[in-house]
Amino acid sequence: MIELHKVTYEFSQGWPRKQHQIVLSNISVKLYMGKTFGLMGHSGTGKTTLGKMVAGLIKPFSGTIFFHGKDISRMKPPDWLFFRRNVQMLFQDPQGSLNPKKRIDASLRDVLNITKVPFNQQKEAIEDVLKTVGLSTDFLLRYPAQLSGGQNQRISLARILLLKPEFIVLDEPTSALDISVQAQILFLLRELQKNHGLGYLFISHDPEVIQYMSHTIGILKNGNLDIVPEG
Amino acid sequence: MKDLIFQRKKYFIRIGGFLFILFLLVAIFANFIAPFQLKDRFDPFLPLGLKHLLGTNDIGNDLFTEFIYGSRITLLVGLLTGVFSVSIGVLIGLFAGYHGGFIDELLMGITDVILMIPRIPLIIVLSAFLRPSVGLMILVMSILWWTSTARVIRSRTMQIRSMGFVESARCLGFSGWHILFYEILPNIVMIIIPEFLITVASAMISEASLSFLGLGDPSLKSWGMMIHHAFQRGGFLNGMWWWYIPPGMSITLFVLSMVFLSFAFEETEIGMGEEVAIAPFNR
Amino acid sequence: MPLLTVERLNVVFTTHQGRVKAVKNVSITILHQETLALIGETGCGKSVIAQSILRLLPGNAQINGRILFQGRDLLLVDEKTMASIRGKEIAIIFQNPSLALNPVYSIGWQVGEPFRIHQGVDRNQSIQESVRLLSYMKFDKPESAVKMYPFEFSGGMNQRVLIASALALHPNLIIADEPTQGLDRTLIKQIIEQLDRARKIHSSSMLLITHDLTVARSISDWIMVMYAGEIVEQVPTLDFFQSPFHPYSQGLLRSLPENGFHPIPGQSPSMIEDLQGCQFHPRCQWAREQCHREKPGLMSVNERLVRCFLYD
Repeated sequence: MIELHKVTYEFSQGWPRKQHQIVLSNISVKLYMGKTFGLMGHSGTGKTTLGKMVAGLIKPFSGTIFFHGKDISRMKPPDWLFFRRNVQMLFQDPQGSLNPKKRIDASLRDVLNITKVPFNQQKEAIEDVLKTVGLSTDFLLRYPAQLSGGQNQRISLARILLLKPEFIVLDEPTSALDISVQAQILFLLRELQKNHGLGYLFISHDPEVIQYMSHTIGILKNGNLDIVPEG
Repeated sequence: MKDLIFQRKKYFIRIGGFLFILFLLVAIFANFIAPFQLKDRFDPFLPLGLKHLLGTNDIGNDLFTEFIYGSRITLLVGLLTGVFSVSIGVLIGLFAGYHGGFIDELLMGITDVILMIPRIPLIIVLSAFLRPSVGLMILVMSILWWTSTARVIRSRTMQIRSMGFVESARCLGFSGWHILFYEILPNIVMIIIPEFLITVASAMISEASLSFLGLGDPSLKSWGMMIHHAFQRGGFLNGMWWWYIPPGMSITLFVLSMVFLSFAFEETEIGMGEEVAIAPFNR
Repeated sequence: MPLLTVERLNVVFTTHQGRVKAVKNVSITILHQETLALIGETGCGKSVIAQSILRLLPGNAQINGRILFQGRDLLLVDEKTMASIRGKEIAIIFQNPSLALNPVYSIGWQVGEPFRIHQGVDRNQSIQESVRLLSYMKFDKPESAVKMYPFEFSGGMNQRVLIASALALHPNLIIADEPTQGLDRTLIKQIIEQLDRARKIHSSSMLLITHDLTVARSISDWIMVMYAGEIVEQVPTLDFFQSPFHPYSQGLLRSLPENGFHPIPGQSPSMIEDLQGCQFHPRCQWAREQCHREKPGLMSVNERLVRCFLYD
């Protein structure tokens, strides 16, 4: 379980006098494994910022984020590594997540190398994960620019799945995709949640998508998070 | 003129590549190409001829031999300076661009300080106090010439750093070193090579200028030195254009060949190798 | 006489990976004051059709066929004539408004551009025309808007600016290529309303290219569905949403949020390799033996055209 406790984030810019903008104020929420928390709000309200904080990419201005009860800002290497592997993030722009100069198989192998999977087991692991996301092994020899948006998104998902995470922050994962491809990706995400017990923080501006995917919905407005009651 | 280059880019690149390799081969195989030795002496002040393709100088050395061997020194100075200074520039640019914050400020501060140092005057002064030598020149140029490379690499690194795949890499748990050298570096190679070529060109021209002024290494006959001798020892006064024009032209041609080669490394977007041209309709 | 007739258009791109057959034997007819929505996934070739009409394809494209606009074959006219047609008789609205606008010129300058180029009007007058156009598009305070720059406007406002600019010279045909891509729900509705209103005011026809079915539904008279470079269904809009005939069309409608996000299994075929039989058959729940072997042609059923053996 991931818990946010009174998390605040400010954004300051300007010179000579800095102007502070409060993006998130006193956010407290619990995110459970196996369930999806849908996060809504207009563009620029800080949904992505919140997502990045949950994924450990940005530090909050104040407040704490707990992972299985431990404060992530105070984690020592073994705990931090565990957190890093288990909480992942899928970004909005499908082509942006992959190194354009790397072949798909190289991008996938990189991940296996940092988890120290032995070379002889790598081929099988890659084939398995491609099957899970619904792509054939033909894609291994291609470059991201040769793949469509939906295919790139699947590869990015495959890379994340190689780490066997518990929780994934999904930042507008289908906003840049066609309607039919969107349906495919959403279906895939639900299947993965069912089969692997993954928890999701699903960020989107589309109310229908949020309704379809989420168990709990929160709306970000003026820096505050309002949780929509069930039912 | 821009359109001419744009549509015929392929040919320019090939000409550049051909010339570059030609010069390189001449420098490497100088012993086999040069008809005589540098120290051989014949009749002085001979004009162009079959035996002495570029005639002889004031003490009778064959000028064609000097010309061929001169390529070694000139190219060596240029290429070594290029390698060293670009290496320094890339490392500084990468670190400054990736880490930002204090490290960036520190490194850019150092860059600014180096930029303030007047390059050619420093070499002149040092040559006056120490013995002028090729090694000194290469050393000083390597220490001073990396600044523009560092800046260019830094801004490109900052650009790439904000791209999605770098963030993804951080998220997946790759270490900073891995990201710098395996994710970011491959994407800036296309910029490093033109920077290298420009640095080599600049170093070569600087060396030639300094040698021409008499501040180069007198024991090694670079093209610049050859031109210097031509002017100092009566080649110019006697109208012996074959003494100083060939080395001068060669420097120009070599620099031009590198400029043409650098056309091959133009990229419109990161990840795309070719430009998409909107050409007039053709069936 | 129809406003635009595309006859058996074929477009092939020569690339490193092979020959990409982007558009295969496509024929389209648009009458006056009619809106045709061209629907399909990204990469199915619909944008290529728009670029072919406007003669804006890259150098590695081979085009075959005829594109008759008001009786003239656009593939045969010279570039000078084409340049005078673009912007004046055929207007284009592209996908990404912020990219289509030049960041260093003011809004007024850019909206006034069609007037300066096609009508030879001077600078001040073109700015006045811009003010007029912007107030038409219901911008409040158009006089101050013309002095502002694209970065000061949101994506939605920039798109409205582009629409105003595109329609400045009363074009006969408007080609809108994914005009609502990336915008959120409320903005899409606004843009589409303005587009429709502007079209009616100028009595223009429109070729609307989109993958968003909701957008297509709201303002089009006819719908053409494209799959892997081919037209697979052509049908009046109302009939399409009531009863889509082609299995791909049905799949598209089932993917819609209001119908439950049901995905179509499988992937679109590669545009380089030729698939034997019907291009859609690997993903089709009604695929028969015939579908594996033969390619269906476009069959006429009442007012529709469908490329499927089910309707033979």
